[in-house]
Amino acid sequence: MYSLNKALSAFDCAVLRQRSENTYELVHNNFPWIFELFNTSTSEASFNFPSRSLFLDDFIEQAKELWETSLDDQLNSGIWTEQLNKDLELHLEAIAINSKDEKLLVLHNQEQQFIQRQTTLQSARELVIANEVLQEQHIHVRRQFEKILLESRSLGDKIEALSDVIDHAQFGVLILDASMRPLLQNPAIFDLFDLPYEPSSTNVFNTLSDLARKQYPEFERVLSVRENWQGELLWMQPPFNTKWLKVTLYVIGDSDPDTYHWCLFVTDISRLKHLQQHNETLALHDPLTQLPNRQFFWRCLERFCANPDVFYVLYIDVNHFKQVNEAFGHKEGDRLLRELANRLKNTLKKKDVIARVGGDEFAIILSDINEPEHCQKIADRMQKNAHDVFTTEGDERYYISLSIGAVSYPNDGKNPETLMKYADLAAYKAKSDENQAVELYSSELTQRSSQRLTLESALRDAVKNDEFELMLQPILNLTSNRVVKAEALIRWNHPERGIIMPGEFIPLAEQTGLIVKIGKWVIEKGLALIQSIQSSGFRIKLSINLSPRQIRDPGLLSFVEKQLEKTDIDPSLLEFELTEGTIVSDYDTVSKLLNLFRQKGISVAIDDFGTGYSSLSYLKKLPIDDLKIDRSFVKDLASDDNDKAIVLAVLAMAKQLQLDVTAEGVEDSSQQQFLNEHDCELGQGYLFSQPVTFDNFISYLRTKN
Amino acid sequence: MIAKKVCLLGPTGVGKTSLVKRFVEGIFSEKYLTTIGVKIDKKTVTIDDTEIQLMLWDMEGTDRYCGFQTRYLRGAAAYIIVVDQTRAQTLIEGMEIHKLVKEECDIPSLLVVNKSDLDASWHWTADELDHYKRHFNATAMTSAKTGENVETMFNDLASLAFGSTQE
Ligand SMILES: Nc1nc2c(ncn2[C@@H]2O[C@H](COP(=O)(O)OP(=O)(O)O)[C@@H](O)[C@H]2O)c(=O)[nH]1
Ligand SMILES: [Mg+2]
Repeated sequence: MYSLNKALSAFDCAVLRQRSENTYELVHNNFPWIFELFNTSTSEASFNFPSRSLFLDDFIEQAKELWETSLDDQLNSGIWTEQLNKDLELHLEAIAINSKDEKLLVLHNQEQQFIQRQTTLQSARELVIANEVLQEQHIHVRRQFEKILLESRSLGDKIEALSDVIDHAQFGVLILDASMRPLLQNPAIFDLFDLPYEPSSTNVFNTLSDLARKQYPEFERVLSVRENWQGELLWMQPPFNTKWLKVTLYVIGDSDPDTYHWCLFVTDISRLKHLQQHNETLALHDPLTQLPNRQFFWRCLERFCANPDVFYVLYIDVNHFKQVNEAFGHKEGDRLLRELANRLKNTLKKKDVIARVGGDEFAIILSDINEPEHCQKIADRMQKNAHDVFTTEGDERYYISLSIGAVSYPNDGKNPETLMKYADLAAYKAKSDENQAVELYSSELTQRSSQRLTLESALRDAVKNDEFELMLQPILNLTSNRVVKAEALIRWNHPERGIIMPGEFIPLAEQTGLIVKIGKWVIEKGLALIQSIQSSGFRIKLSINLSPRQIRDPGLLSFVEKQLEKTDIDPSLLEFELTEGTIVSDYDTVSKLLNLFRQKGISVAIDDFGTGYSSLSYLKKLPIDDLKIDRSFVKDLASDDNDKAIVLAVLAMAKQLQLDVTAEGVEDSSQQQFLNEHDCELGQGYLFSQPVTFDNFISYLRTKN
Repeated sequence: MIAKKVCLLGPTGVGKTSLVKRFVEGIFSEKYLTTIGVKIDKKTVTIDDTEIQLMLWDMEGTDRYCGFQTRYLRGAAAYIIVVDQTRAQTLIEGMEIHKLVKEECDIPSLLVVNKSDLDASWHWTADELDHYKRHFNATAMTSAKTGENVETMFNDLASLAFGSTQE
């Protein structure tokens, strides 16, 4: 006992041994409050329950259950607060120990742990809560904005309504028109910068965009592709004024590229940053993933750039992160980030650095790597680890993928700003190309982003000058070899470059919102083609593609209704195609819309099936008529067993859900034979016909049907 | 006197500690001090001429730093889930906690929507709220700051707790 006492004297604790059910004797005491706790005098050597502590009385009942077993085990109460009198508050923990012939109860003063946990969590929680409240207010104001901007009233009326909203907002608000001229700003945003309120001054925006460009190298790209964005800026006004500002950038009214607006929300978060910086672990750590944060990464990168040693920087963005949050809740989103952080960490060497630099963004320094192939190999491994299944707490399975951009030091850039800017650009490129897992930066990328701007303005002209053309690709019944359907496919006849394929301009149209106008043109033109086909004596269904942005356009349904009415076409001759990605990206909107289509008699097909991440449970709930198997699976059907298995699985699933299946990209008769044998009803591809003009389509119909 | 254990559950910062303080001590503080672990307060209420001593278990909020602790539910006669009407997310999290408790024990529950003195910035419609409320034995809108409904709410809680274990 002597040595135990000696060991325990280092702790502020008391050890009690059970004598009878409710009586305990003191074995060791280095904890003066024990007598108060049991309301006994210091001369007493035994203690009786009930004590003065409700918590302890509750705990002792659980302890007794443990002591009744013969397990060598212990039970920990967790920290509780005991208010013994007005001025005496203790933070305690109890441990019940069952060892061979002893039933021990340890009371432990946890003051230190309590204070430590409280100081750490105080600022962490204030941050979380402040963020949530802020987010809530943003959403609230943003909804009102969208409503006002979409309503058809005069600009003057709109501005008046908007001012009403933002004058009362508790944070700075700045609304810019499409060419980035301030349209409206509230007094709060001038207060943030200690400037006098001048409604038409550009000072605030200029200051903000300068700061953002310097502190977030990706900012320029964000503006050019019109992404929503969020960041924390440090603003310094010599000599004493320093503020941390949280800036959120939203694009509003993006379905109409001619009237979209920028909206900036700015909040002073200096107090929270200050709290955070009190605590070094919080200041440089991301509490969620336990990885270093953006500030820390930046410091490391500066240090690496001061040396001649080669390295690569990877910028990683999680695809479909928003969907996981929406489908399974934020808690699952958090779990995903933690799990992913671990998987990424496991692919790295000790000297490498990994950090969480944004909501769903990670950055990595791969030390001592010079060869692009080597970097590629590591990035591939990360991609592979990320592709492994994720499971929610409710045991639902889902998949994600990453967009990885890579730059090398010193080849691609020599300072942190350039490296991060290029890595972001490369990651962005990787995102737009589903099959490209990793994008290594090349100077071409910067060139391409300027080409992109040229293409964008040409595309705007194309909409005005009616430079598009709609082609038709027949879809055949694979047994009868008759044409039963056609897919409408758009081409762009560029006045100088000639024909441009949709793969090149549709993503751009989607990013810029021009897709909404182009899409309406396609629907109008498509319906006219259905009429013409009918007048030529055939009844053929036409399938038209819808993009994510079109789906989000609140005017889509009424537009379709109006066109159907105008042309008096049987809605069962119209089908809309959506990709899997579109469905998962905004499940609620899509589900509502598809049900309304179904009510009208319009059918729906899922395009590129198999490439996305939709689960069977999604499909079951949606009113879908047709699955289109992606061409990548059809291509190697004859030789690749994996592809074969996938196609067979899709066919089996479709049968169960009573859906039609169309195979895309059928190019030779062995594929047709395989599909035929396994009851795949429909097919399209070069084996039958490429997309053709209306006249050629009619001739084709004449030979086939 | 009959004693009843009741638990205050919910996300962090919704006002669990403030509600207890208002009810037991009649005070409110704007300053937020995050709760660590558990603290028990007691107060006697009278329901149908019966005196009941409520043992109010105020717990650390459930969030990414502190998981939900089912073991503290042992022996509880009722619980409340507190949510904050300025943060929509708290209702979602509150419902998750509610689900976890239901898996553990079958005792009456009360949904408390706190901070009624502030503007509700959340986007739930009355219909959606009704849908959530249906999962509870009762609901209340309270403000720990002004004291609105706090007394009534704890009295309702006491009745629920009393009823639940009465033979
Ligand atoms: N305006 C207002 N603030 C409240 C109310 N209840 C709590 N608060 C504030 O919300 C913060 C968190 O309260 P607290 O009781 O510690 O929350 P807990 O984490 O759920 O225990 C504190 O700053 C309180 O002052 C309320 O009814 N109205
Ligand atoms: Mg609390």
